[in-house]
Amino acid sequence: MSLKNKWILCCVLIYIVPQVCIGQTKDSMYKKFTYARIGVDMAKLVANVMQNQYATYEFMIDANFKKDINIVSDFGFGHSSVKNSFIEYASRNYFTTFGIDKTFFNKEYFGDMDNVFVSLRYGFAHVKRQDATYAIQDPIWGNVQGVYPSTSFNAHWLEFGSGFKMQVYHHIFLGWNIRFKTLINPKKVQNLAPAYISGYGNGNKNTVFGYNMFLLYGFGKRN
Amino acid sequence: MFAFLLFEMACKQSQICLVPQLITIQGVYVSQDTSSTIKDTVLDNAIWLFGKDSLFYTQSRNTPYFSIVPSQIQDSSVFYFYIDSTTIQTSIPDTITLYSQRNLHFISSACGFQTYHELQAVKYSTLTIDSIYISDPNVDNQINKKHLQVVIKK
Repeated sequence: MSLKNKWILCCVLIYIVPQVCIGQTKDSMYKKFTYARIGVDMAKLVANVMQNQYATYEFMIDANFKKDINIVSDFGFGHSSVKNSFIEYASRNYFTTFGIDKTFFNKEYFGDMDNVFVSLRYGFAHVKRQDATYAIQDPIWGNVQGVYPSTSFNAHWLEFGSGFKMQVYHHIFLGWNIRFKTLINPKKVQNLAPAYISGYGNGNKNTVFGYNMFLLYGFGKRN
Repeated sequence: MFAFLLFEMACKQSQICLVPQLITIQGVYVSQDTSSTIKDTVLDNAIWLFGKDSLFYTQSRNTPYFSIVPSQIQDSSVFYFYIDSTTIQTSIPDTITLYSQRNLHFISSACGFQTYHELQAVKYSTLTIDSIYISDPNVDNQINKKHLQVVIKK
């Protein structure tokens, strides 16, 4: 990890740790982890059907930690392929992210879980790429064909985002968010980048925008 | 959400390769004047032949610069150099053999690979050429480099 990326990671931790720790004294009456939600990203399920370059299955779980902070984790898996006249390869990955959602508005009534939030997350994916077959079209000296060996690597990234979650029926919620993601170790990913890294997005880009539309089910005791 | 999906679809469709897969060696003709200083030399009608059956050519018309394409399938590339393309039927060319180490370089998932070269050595005949120097051995996708200096006999 480069020095610059270490600084970014430090800054993120410096932001997150006080958010989580200070709450222990300030909101001592508040009961943590009493209500959790688990959901699936419906937008990705639709996107999987609309194209054949990748498939991704993304899930989310969150739990209340403070009045205005939820601890959040995304997880999932997926696969993608690149196929054109120059190169052909496939890759698979699983991923997880951890972070917080900080809400803006006060609760309007007991158990109110609707809110707008900003989020900060760290993401990790383990990617396995299969052998890549390539062709370099050279009419002058002759075409080149070959196989580039398979490999596995880890991708790390940070996410900053914003969105909302709202209750649509008893314990059923809809959550939409948009996220800006930046790779911490782009050099590891760049060489034969996957067309799509589940959880991150286009593997060819060091920074991407992503979105999710979660359908969530909540359970537990509301504060 | 539908708008985002459409946007995503549009982005995926636009993955077209706009980067050439072939890498060229850039060079400059020079000559020594009477005071032994080396300066760029404009050639009116020089030509390089190369490729599988030497069927490809690159011509330098009124310029001191040239570019040639090295082989991606072997470590040596043979080029034939005529200082005047109008005498191609009657004159004997200089033969230049470039030896290089080939390195596969990934461009993008839309374009695949290209071959970078690290020039190791050059052999040449001296009919019209005085000498050839490798001024920058690393042949990559930077177009402003000059890899070879071809010293033309006066």
